[in-house]
Amino acid sequence: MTPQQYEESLRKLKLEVYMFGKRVENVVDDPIIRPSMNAVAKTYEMAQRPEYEDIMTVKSHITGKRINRFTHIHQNVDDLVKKSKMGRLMGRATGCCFQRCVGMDALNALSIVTYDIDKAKGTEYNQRFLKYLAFVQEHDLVCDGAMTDPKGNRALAPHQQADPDLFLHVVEERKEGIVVRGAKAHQTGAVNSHEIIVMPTIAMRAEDKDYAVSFALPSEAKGIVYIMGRQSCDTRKLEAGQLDRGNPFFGGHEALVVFENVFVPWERVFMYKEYEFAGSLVENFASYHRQSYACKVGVGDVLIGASQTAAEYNGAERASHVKDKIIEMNHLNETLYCGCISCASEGHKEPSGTYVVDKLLANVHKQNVTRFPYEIARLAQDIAGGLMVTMPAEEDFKSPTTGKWLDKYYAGNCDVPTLNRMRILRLIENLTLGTAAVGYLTESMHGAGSPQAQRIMISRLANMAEKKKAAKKLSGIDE
Amino acid sequence: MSNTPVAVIVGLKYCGGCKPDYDRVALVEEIRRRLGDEAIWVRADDPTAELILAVHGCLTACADLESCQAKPIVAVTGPEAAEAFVCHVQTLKR
Ligand SMILES: Cc1cc2nc3c(=O)[nH]c(=O)nc-3n(C[C@H](O)[C@H](O)[C@H](O)COP(=O)(O)OP(=O)(O)OC[C@H]3O[C@@H](n4cnc5c(N)ncnc54)[C@H](O)[C@@H]3O)c2cc1C
Ligand code: SF4
Repeated sequence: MTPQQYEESLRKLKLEVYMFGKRVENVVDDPIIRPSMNAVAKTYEMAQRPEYEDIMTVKSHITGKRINRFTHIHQNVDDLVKKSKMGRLMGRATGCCFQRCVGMDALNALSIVTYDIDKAKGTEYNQRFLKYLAFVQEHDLVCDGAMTDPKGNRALAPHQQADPDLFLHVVEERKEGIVVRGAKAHQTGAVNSHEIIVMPTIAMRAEDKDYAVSFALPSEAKGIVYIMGRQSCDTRKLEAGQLDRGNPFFGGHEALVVFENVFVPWERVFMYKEYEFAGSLVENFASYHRQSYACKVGVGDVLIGASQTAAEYNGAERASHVKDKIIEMNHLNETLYCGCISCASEGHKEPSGTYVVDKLLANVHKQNVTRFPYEIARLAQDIAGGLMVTMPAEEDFKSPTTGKWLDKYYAGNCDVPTLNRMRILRLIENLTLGTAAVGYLTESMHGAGSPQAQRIMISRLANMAEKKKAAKKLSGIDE
Repeated sequence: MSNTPVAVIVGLKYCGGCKPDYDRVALVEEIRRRLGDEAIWVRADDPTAELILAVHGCLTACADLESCQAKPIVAVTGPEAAEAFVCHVQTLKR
């Protein structure tokens, strides 16, 4: 699909979207949402260009046709490595969350778990899933990966919640399918998606079996409602100028997706009350998604580039501490890159044939992602100076009354137009505390699971017995 | 007998460009400009290609050349290789 065809395909969707208390009639052209659509469209545009096709496209293992990698099931370690590279590439091209990786991770996790359920239970989920996958690949669709439930009281299991809808669950079984109710929170790229793939949010026990459900639906299915989340500085996109937006081209979005008694036909159901497999689906999805935070390396590239440029525009680029801060930013960013490449390089084949990342390394990578972008952002703000948060509006620069003073007093290196200095500072603001900080910082913290979720996995997966054995052997302990 | 030089058909293959050390597209533009009508440019998987130019963004040199193995491949990993490639094509023509 071309970016234009993608945009046209979204125009045909009849989504029920709300923002600022009102129904959004034209989602595609809404100025707040539009930059996020541009970012997804970029995944189509890059796939069309020969200089990116090696990373952005791949041969489908089910049809043999060339497809967008965002719809691919990883067939070898090289696919996993290219997925990490694609994340960095796209992050650098957009400077934001490009939203399409969540669906790719959901598809890959389901390719593993539907197979495993079938083997254990004699069901036919994998066949259904492969049919669905062929449909997604054929039409080059964007899928929202919907895992996170609102969760209510975090100390209680789904069936113990005061309101049973706080985790999405089955409310009715019919001959043709099931009816579900609940919601999914923080859904990245929800209204830019053709499809929504729902998965349970935590491992479950028998009492929670009504909550152990996974399925896919068209995003416009009856009963699905989208309530857009706000992002810091979002209404700057309603202003006439471009400068104050920081990144006038691209952005991300998240939404609360409500499922109000939504019908799902059986051919779209991939898990139905097999609660023993909910944990495996969560773990596989989370591992893939923790790898996906390769995108933060690409966004980090943009922030480091912006910081170096700001230093040059300020005339401070030769100061030894500035050089050292840039080195530190690169060190942290490339350390993140090491994590997403290594968990891919150490990937392995599952019984379904799908390749999955090394889960310990993917969790270590994501744990680093919960920290390093914050430090990179701190250093960027240090180098940028205070003007990134005290700068007047674009209109003041254009005003015949105030413009001359702003141009004069906010000049840095005299070879550089003052407005260019302002542009780069606004980009740093955008990435570290504006709309893009949602993706670069808070999503780095909580997306794909809060830091503690990775620490639990690290404690489970680190082979402590082998480590103790090595230590005892070298210290002469003979047990 | 005509003295018109015969153009070399070059199949162009880029790596995926995840973290290129230089502008790969600008380099190819420069090579194209230098070679002018001494080269005809096609996709690397075009059966008419006589020679493959593999443009890698860095020393990892990971462009997927599986479909071009039967042809001579010239790999470049930086702008300094442009001159050598231009000379190579010009030599082939003679
Ligand atoms: C920008 C952004 C984009 C996202 N995109 C998606 C998406 O596309 N799809 C999707 O499915 N999800 C998405 N998420 C959701 C993400 O996975 C969750 O934010 C994450 O799992 C944390 O859940 P929460 O936000 O409800 O935080 P909470 O669960 O409220 O966590 C807050 C704190 O409480 C702690 N805590 C919570 N429960 C417990 C417990 N039982 N015991 C001990 N400590 C606990 C946590 O460790 C954390 O420190 C996104 C999140 C963000 C911020
Ligand atoms: S050659 Fe280098 S820049 Fe190109 S895709 Fe491979 S690793 Fe990335």
